[in-house]
Amino acid sequence: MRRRHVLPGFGLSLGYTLLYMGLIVLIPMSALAMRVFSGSWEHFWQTVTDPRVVASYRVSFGLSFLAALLNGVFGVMAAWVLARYQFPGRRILDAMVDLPFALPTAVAGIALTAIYAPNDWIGALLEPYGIRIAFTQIGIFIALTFIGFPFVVRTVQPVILQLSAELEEAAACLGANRWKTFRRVIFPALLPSILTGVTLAYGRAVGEFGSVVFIAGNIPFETEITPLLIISKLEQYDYSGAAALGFVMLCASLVILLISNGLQAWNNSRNGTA
Amino acid sequence: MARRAGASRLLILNRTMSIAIQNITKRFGLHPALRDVSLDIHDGELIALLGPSGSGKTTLLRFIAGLEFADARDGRISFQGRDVTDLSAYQRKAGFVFQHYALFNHMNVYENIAFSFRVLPRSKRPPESAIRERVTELLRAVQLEGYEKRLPTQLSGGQRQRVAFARALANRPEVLLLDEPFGALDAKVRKDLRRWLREFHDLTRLTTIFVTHDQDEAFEVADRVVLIDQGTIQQSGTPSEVRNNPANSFVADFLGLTENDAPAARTECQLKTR
Repeated sequence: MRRRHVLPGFGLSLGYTLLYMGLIVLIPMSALAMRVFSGSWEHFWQTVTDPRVVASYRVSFGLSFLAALLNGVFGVMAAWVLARYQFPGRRILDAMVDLPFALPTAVAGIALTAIYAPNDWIGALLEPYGIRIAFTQIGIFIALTFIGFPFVVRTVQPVILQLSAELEEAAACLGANRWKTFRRVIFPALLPSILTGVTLAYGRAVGEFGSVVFIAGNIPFETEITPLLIISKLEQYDYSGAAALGFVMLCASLVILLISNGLQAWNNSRNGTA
Repeated sequence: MARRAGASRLLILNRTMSIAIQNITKRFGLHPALRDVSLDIHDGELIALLGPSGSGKTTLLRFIAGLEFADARDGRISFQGRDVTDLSAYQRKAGFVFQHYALFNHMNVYENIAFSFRVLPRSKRPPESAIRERVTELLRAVQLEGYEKRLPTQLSGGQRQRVAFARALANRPEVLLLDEPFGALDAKVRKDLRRWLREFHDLTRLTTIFVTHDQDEAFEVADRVVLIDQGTIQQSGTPSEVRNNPANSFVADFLGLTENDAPAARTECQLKTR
């Protein structure tokens, strides 16, 4: 088992990594799981299948999915423009993509509520047509789109930059016009990275709390997201209930992560040794 | 020396003229890549564009394919007497083999070769059976039968090169253009492919132009060698014409430097250049 390595310190660094991972990630998560399974199974099942909770899954997972899809379309367009064209203000625009990363999510929530509330800027414009955004599912959708946007752009952009111009020239010489070149050559080459970006945006949106609670209005069965229910259970000192919901979210996140890693592996296998 | 425009205009009437290039000038920024270049290429010729790097030979090749456009409006190019100056690459459909092959990594060998049929409008697309027949025929010609299902990343450099050949030839182009076709291969494979190209050309008589900086390659393979330097054609002729009667000091110098290593002759040539 003992092998020589060029770089020293393998044992030390591995030990440190495992300790760190254990302290920061694994122990809190197993504590969560232990709390769930120390209570009765019936209580757990009752909590996670409560109609109000199930409605919140629908809001959280469903709207996150739609938001991730929308980001899939516009994120790719933004990545394309930023990677392919030179125009004044490109660097500023490029930096602004990361804003949803950097901004405290509560600030994003307040900002979005401030323009979409019925008596504010955009909200007031739409109110006469009977369209309400703040305190409805549309509001949640917009908030989730906002926070997921950078994930798609930042995963697709480097892949676009890497695509060699020769591929497009080759397609042109073989008789493909711009649209066919995009559809048959560029898009398939980008697809794995698009899917990865969309999955990451989805994972982020499912767990999002800060930006959503302000704009959602938190109406039971309509605009309540699962993380909000966890908080309200904590406020009522229902720790095992909160842990049960947390456990469901944890499992969902793990599945999303697995999918995302699988997609990345697929991406690497196709573009690895080009 | 660049031929006079009047002469080449007469030659367009000649049936055996495959490609006629007249008075092409192209600049990249301040750097002139091509200066008033005119060149006539006969049907079925195998031509080498030979010159040092930065001489403009690749620019000329890309211009023929429609991947670069001339600066001035008076530069013209025609295929078989048909003016194609204003056609873009996907309308000219020259068979182009890129230096790094530019294979589509997400498609297998079969789909790469079939690409030029896939992008045809449905009304002009041959039936799948005809496509299969053509692809099989080409795979036999490049000695890659049984590789249909492989992905480009699973092939060696020489095999990728041959797939690129087959793909460029699939839809029967009027001209085959090769950019440093053997540059990225090791010596043994390069020699085999050179011989293969010569035999293939003798068999098909397809007008072929390849760019190289390796004079052995140019003299061994080509019917006619066109020497280019500083964006102008220095000499054009059969290998023996060029060898026996170098038109100017550049040609003598360029050939002499690697042909014979007599230091006296080399110094003399260099002196003449200045």
